[in-house]
Formats: sequence, structure tokens, C-alpha cells
Amino acid sequence: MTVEVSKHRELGLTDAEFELICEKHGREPNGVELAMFSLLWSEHCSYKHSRKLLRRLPTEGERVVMGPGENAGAVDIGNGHAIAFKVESHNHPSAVEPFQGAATGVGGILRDVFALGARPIAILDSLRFGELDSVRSRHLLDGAVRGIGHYGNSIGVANVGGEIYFEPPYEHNCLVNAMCVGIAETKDMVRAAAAGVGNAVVLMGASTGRDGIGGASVLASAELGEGDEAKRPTVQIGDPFEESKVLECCLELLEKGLLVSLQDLGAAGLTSSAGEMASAGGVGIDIDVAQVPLREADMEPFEIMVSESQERMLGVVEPARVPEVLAICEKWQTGSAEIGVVTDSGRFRILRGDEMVGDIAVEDLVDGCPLYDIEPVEPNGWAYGNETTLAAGATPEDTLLALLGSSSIASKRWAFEQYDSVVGSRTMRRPESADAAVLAIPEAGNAIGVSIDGNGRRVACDPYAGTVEAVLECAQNLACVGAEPLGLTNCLNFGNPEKPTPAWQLDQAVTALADACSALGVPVVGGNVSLYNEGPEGPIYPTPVVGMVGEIPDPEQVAGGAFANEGDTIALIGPFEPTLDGSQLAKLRGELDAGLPQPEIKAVAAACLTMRTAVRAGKLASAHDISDGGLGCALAECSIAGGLGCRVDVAPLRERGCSPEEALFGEGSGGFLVSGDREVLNSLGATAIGKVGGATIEIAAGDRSFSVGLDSAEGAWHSLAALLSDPA
Amino acid sequence: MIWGVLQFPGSCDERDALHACSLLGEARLVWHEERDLSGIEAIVIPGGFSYGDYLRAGAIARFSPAMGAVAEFAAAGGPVLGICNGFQVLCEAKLLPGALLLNEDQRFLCRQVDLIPENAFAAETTPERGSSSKRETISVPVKHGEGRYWAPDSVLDAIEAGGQVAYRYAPGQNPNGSARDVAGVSNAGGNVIGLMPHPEHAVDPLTGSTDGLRVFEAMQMVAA
Amino acid sequence: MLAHQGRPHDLGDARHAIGRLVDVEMATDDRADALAQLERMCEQLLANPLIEDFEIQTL
Repeated sequence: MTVEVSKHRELGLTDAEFELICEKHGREPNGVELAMFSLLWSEHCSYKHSRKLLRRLPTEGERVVMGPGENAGAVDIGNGHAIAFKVESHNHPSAVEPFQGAATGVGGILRDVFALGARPIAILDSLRFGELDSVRSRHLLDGAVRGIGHYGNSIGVANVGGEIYFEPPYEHNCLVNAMCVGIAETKDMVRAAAAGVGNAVVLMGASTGRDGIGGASVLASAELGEGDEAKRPTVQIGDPFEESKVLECCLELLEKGLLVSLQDLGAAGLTSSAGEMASAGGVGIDIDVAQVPLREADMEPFEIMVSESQERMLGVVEPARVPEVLAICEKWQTGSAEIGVVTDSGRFRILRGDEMVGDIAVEDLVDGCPLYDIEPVEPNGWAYGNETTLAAGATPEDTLLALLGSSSIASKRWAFEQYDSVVGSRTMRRPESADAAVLAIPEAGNAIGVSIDGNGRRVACDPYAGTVEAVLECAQNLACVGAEPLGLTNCLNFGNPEKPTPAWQLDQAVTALADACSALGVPVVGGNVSLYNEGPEGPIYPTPVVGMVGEIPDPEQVAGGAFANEGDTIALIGPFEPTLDGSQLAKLRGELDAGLPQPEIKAVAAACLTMRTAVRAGKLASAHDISDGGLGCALAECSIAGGLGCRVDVAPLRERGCSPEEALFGEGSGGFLVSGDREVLNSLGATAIGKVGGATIEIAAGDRSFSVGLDSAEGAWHSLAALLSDPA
Repeated sequence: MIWGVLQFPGSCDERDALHACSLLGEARLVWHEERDLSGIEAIVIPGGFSYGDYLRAGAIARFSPAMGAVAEFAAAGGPVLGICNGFQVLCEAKLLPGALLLNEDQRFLCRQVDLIPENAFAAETTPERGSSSKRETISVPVKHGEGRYWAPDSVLDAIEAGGQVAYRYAPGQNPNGSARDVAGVSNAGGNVIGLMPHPEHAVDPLTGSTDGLRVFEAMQMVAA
Repeated sequence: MLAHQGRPHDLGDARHAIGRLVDVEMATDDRADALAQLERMCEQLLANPLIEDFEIQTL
């Protein structure tokens, strides 16, 4: 089947790329081959605009068990066990169909983790939408949360944390990033590389349909007539029950040593899964599409090869053990079929029975895509808009209530109560009870802290400083629960890299990520890049999302975020020197502008060590990182959580050169808000600022002193549900 | 005490239930295709989404071979505890009265709630607080999307009169619109108990309250 | 139809109930036998008579 030249453009390949394919391939690719090239040479699969940048990231460390390039990263947690984790995006599908987009995002990241042989034990999610006065954004938020809940709850993996932000630049391009954490015995973990010439390739899980084919439908042999659109869906449909069956099946197969290698099927389906397995193993692979269990009878070979039907896994099995594998699949009521064989040809051959329908050199397909240099150009000043929603003359009380009630800061209880946060019996800190999720790891006699963080707005002000802050924020959150970071995963959500400003943002952010990780000694063990997030009004805020896992040696010593005892001293730890640059207050006032102070990484790292040590020694009654909304909001959050007010004077921050307003609502790295015994806090070098007690939050800030009732603060902080039901 | 915890394709909390049971004795999983319950002294039907909640939650599980054996076990007076999806299975199997419908808010809800123990079985699960007040509560998480207990008024009147209401949600804490705040019920014989909240997620001080362990202890007394 | 009663957002004052449509192909030509079997299937599995009623239509 030969193809008209212009078809490659409809599939997203440039003329130059198409010529290169023809050159490497030795001839023009046929329809099946062209479909496969177009997908594996797409940005999503090839990372052609980001791969050179990602080489800057530090990926090595003595606790690293699996690094970038495998299905997920993994770190050693002790006693022969490893913690696997990764974050991935599903932005564009979620904007089209938020329920299924978010659900299948969760499904995909779960598969990445159990593809290593790790049992998923936790999910976290990082979501971004436009402001809630938009019907569309309310619809997307509602659908995404229901979708994440549906998938995670049904499959029985606890959702233990996350974040949700609302900013105008995400209105036409929402972000749905899903993180999964899993546990494995290190010796049972498996890599993706196909190995063993003559070994069988077995497809497990759901049958294959037309999910996700959309764009490639230009290659259909039959002309699409009116009403045929229903045949070519673009949205993948997730089935968590199918996933739970194939998950248990795969874990049992790995436990019994029946799989040589394992890979999940995600973007570009069989093409990427089989292709990447072959490439990693330096082998060839033959796939017979006639053996693939189909959901619809009349599927063409190219459709079978590019389908993104969910809940499917690809395994490599020694021929003698194939019957056992099929029997275990049968036991778990999950589909299975031997669909191919590992060869030494170095080629990826697609057959339909005896007929050869495609034949590509593995190297050309998987590694042949050219890698591009981006062309960064720093923009002049603030490249996004501003909107004023808080009057200039607002009192400090009204300002605090406005900040607490702003959708990005308000409690996300409405969302996390839709998630099962306790299944698995490991959750020691449920959502919003501490700055990081805490999961018991009895297998190693310890526990882990997990956090996912990002702040697109601050990265937009200064991509370098903002990205460093994101890494530090994650480390600070872990420090509040006594966790030492072991590894980091990241999802880089940016605009069009072929345009100068997003290119500059990406370049700065990756450099910052590399610098911060190196300075902290935290390796990057995996991640994901999502580019071309642009709407008609321009790109999203550059949004690097960072996920970290840290070790907690003694699960009994983990602080919470709530003020605990009347009379406890309240104090600050760390090199906190807040400014209003890029702050939530600046946003509400419509005063956002380019520029952020540069964080002092080493000083913040030292404060994290102080905090971690103090928490582990049980010296703190409460520990909370100061972030959105500054000290004022942090104090309110600790008070609301504990049902105890406070009386505080911010004079010590004024001594660091902050104005009253900066001391109250300014933001920046390095601030920890703690409470406990006065003498103990003194010995830690903490700066006392007040006491816990009463039913009001009273803050003395020079000429901006004020008092807010605990009830009012709580009402403002729990206003998200009301924002969602009020169509105004 | 030897416990058997049923496991269906789609069960989620069976390992958590297994762990809770093993704090009090020996416990093993019973695969849905097994009929042999020999040696088992108490059965737990765990939470989750058995068979993907196909048709209705619990509708398929009730026809499994294991549930056939459990029905016989219950008829002979054996203690059976159904948690969340397990409660749904027991209602579908007509081993307990009533049915569980979609939550009033039409959303899944995961939240710690206080329960008021009511009948003789549940009274055994009240934590000692040094008070002789009858209205003590236990603290246990709920996590479900279809937990609204419903039965016709005549049935509700009968189970209330018959001492079959095991637990009610504390005032103001009914998370799903359950009729008369009913959170759990027992059968007329008192050996089959079903409840929507999850006692198996309240057995470890590191992860929450420990009130749930008493529910399993009370099951041991039913067996005795 | 008690299995689902609700007032979802944005539908104004309209009330609704959700049911299920199940297509069943019976392996018999005997219409009376098929209907009898189907009644039993509905009562035992396809519907929960406590909270749902059902109606059989032949096609």
C-alpha cells in the first residue's frame, strides 16, 4: 500500500522528517509503517525537542535502583525492597473528556509502576484549571476529580495527596498530572528490555479496539463517510476492573519468575511498547496482528498497531513457559495471546498471518528521530495578563480571608474526600493532615513521605527561580514529616517549544531543575514532558511539577500540621525572606510581574535538615511549610486544623527587612512554621513569634495588626464546595 | 480462631481485612471459586468492587461458589461479617434485609465518621470510656459511592423492633442519606452482620483509630 | 424506581430515574419457555426486586 506524499503532514511529520524516514528506510514507507513512524517520531513519544535538555539532569545516586529510561524510577528503601514512582501527564485528553482523560491518566501511570514488578500503593495528582467562574473549568474540575476517584478507588490504590491550582492561562489547556508510588522486592523487579531470541511475545489484558486512533485515521483504506466518525474515537476509555485483573496477573507472573521482561502499552500502543522493548534489548521483534484479541471485527493492521486501548501489557516469555503464563491469565480472567517472537534481525516486522504488512529497522523507528535544539529568547517583562479581584484598600482581615478563600489556597477537601485514602492500610497521614503524605512500609520497618508540588505562576515570573522553588517546596514538605528525599520525578508542562518564549522557559526550568537536584543531592529517577500546551490566548504558565519520595526511619515520629496544645510557642525556622513578587496576593491585586528573588538553596537545605532532625526526635508539636498566601495563611491553616487560635507578632521578619505586608502575605522558599515547647524551639535556633491559644487568629504586624475569628477563617478556607455549586 | 476472608476479582480491602483478622487469630483468603470452608470459624466478606460492580454492586458475587458455601455456613449459625461491598453482597443474597443505593450526593465519599453501637452485638464493640452512658461512639472510616441503606418502612420498623440495627451514624454524620441513619444491620439470628463503614481500617494507631478491632473481637464472641 | 433518585446540577427542576436496558438472546425457540426463564433471570440477577421493577419486551 503506497501513500500519497501529503499524508505524512496530516500525521504530524515535517517534510524533512519524512525525507529522512525514506532515506533510512531505503524506500517510501507503506501505510502501516508510516503510521508507526508518525507516532514514534511525534513529540510525545520521541521527546525530540526536550531530550537534549534532559541530559542535564542528575540521575545517579547510591539509592537509585532504576533510573530514567525504564517504565518508572525506583529507589532502595531497605531490607531488599524498592519504592518505584513516576509522574505523568494526560493533559490534552482531559481537556476533551475530563472524566476518561483523568481516569486513563491514572490507569497509565499505575501500569508504568507495576510494569516494573512493583505493587502500586499510592496515587497523588496535580491538577490545574482556569478560574472557577468559568463553566468550562468547573466542568473540567468536576470530571477530572470524578475520573481520578473512579479509577483509583475501583482498583484499590489509595490517593494520598495532590494539589489543585486555578489560573487563567490554564483555561483552554488544563493540566492533569498523575503520580504513582509502588513497592517491590528488588530481586523480583523486571526491566523492559526484550531478550532471548526465540522467546515469545505475549499480549495480556483487555482486547484491542479503536481507542485513540483519531489522528491516524487518515490512513484508513475505506473512505470515511458521513456517520462513520463513530468508528474512529479519539478518547481512550478506562476500565479499572480490567486493570485490577491484569495487575494481579502480572504480579503473580513476576513472583513466579515467568516473565523475561514486561512493558505496559500506553501512547502509540503496540508500536511503542514492542518497539521500545526491542530497542532496549538490541533485538528484533515480529508481531502477528492476526493473533491480537480484537474488540471490533474489521480492524486494519495499522489500527491494531496504533490502538491505545487501555489495560494491556506486553510480556516476553520463554517458549516452554507460555502455557503456564496463559493459565495464570485465565485464572485472573484477563485476556492473553501469544502475538509474536523475539528475533535477532534488529527489525520490527508486522505480519498478518503469513502476509508481511510492515518491516522497519528498530533503530530507525525508536532512535532514528532527529533531536532538535530549541531557540530560547527571554521575553520583555511579564508575558501574561493581570486581573484585579481584591480591592486596593482591603483591610488585612479581608485580605487574609480573601486569600484563604481563594480557590488555589482553599482546602481541597471537596476533592480528596472523593478519593479512597486508606485502602492498603499504609496511610499514616491522610490528605491535608500534614505537609506530605506518609505511608507505612512495614516490609522495611520504616515509612515514606511523598509530596507533589509546583507553582506555574511563580515559574512564569522567573522560570529559573520558580523551578528551584518547586524542588525546594517538595523537599520542605518532606522535611515537615521527617523524610529525607531519596529521589525525584518530574512532569514538565510547557507551551510550544518551537516558539521563543516557551523555549526559554523550558531551557531555564530544566537548568534550574538540574542545579537544584545536584545541590540537594537528589537524583531524578524518571519523569515526563508535555509540550504544546497552548490555547488561543497563548501558552500556559510554564509548569514543572515535581514529585519526591523520602525516607522516614521511625514511623512513630511524624509531626502533623495542626497546632496541638494551648500555650505552645509558635516559631519560624529557616532563611525565610518573603516578598510579594509572584505571590497569591499580587495575583489578587492584579500586580503580577516578571522577577523573583533567587532562593538560597544551601540555606534552605540546611533548614530542611534542622526540621527533619527535630521531627524525627519528636521535638515539634506541629510543622508546616510556608507557601501560598505566606505566613498569614500558614498560621490560619495550623489554627483551623487544630481548632486553636494564635497570638503572633511578625516583628522578627520585619527585622529581616520585610515590610508588614511582606511579613504577613509574602512568599518565597525557606520558611517553616513550627510550634512546641519554648526551650526546645530555642535550642533549635528557631525564632519565636507567638503562642497558640484562644479562638481568634491575632497577628501584630506594625501598622497592619489585626484579628480574625477562627470560625471566619475556617468558613473562608472551606469555601471551595460553595464556589463549585454557585454558578455566579 | 480461624478466619476466612473472601476474595473476588475486584475486591480491594481483602488484604486489609486479612491483616485485621490475623491480629486475633489465623486468617486465610478464600478465592471466590472455592467451596471448602472447612476449619473456618468466621467469615469476612471484604470491601471493594467485586466483579467491577457489574449490574449492581454485589449482584454477581452472590452467585459465586464461595458465597453458596457462606450461605450454608450462615444458615448453620456461623458468624459472617460483611464490610461495605460485603454488606452489599449479603443484601443481594438476601442474608440481610434491605439494599444499598447510590449516595445522596451522588459522589464517592471517604471520611472518618462516628458510629453509635445499638444492638447486642454492637454493644460489645463500645470502647470503655469510663462512663456508663449508653451512647458511646466508635470512630471508623467510610469510603463508598453506593452506601445509602434503604428498605421499605415496614422492614425498617421490623428490624428496629427486632434489635437488628447494629450501628447508626452519629447525629449530623450520616454521609450518604441512609434511612434512619442506619450504618449496619444484623440478621434475625444475630450471626450475620453487615455494615458500610470499614472496621478493618481502624485497627492500627499509626493509621487511625483502633475502635474497629472491637468489631472483629465481637465476631469472635458470636462464634463462641 | 428507587435505585437512583437525584437532582443533578444544571437540570433545573426535572426529576429523573436511571434504569438499565439489557438485551438478552435466549437459546430456545419456545416463546413461553423463554419468557419464563427470563422472568426468573430478572428476579434473581438482572434486577433487585427490592429496589427495582422490570419490564420484558420481546423484539
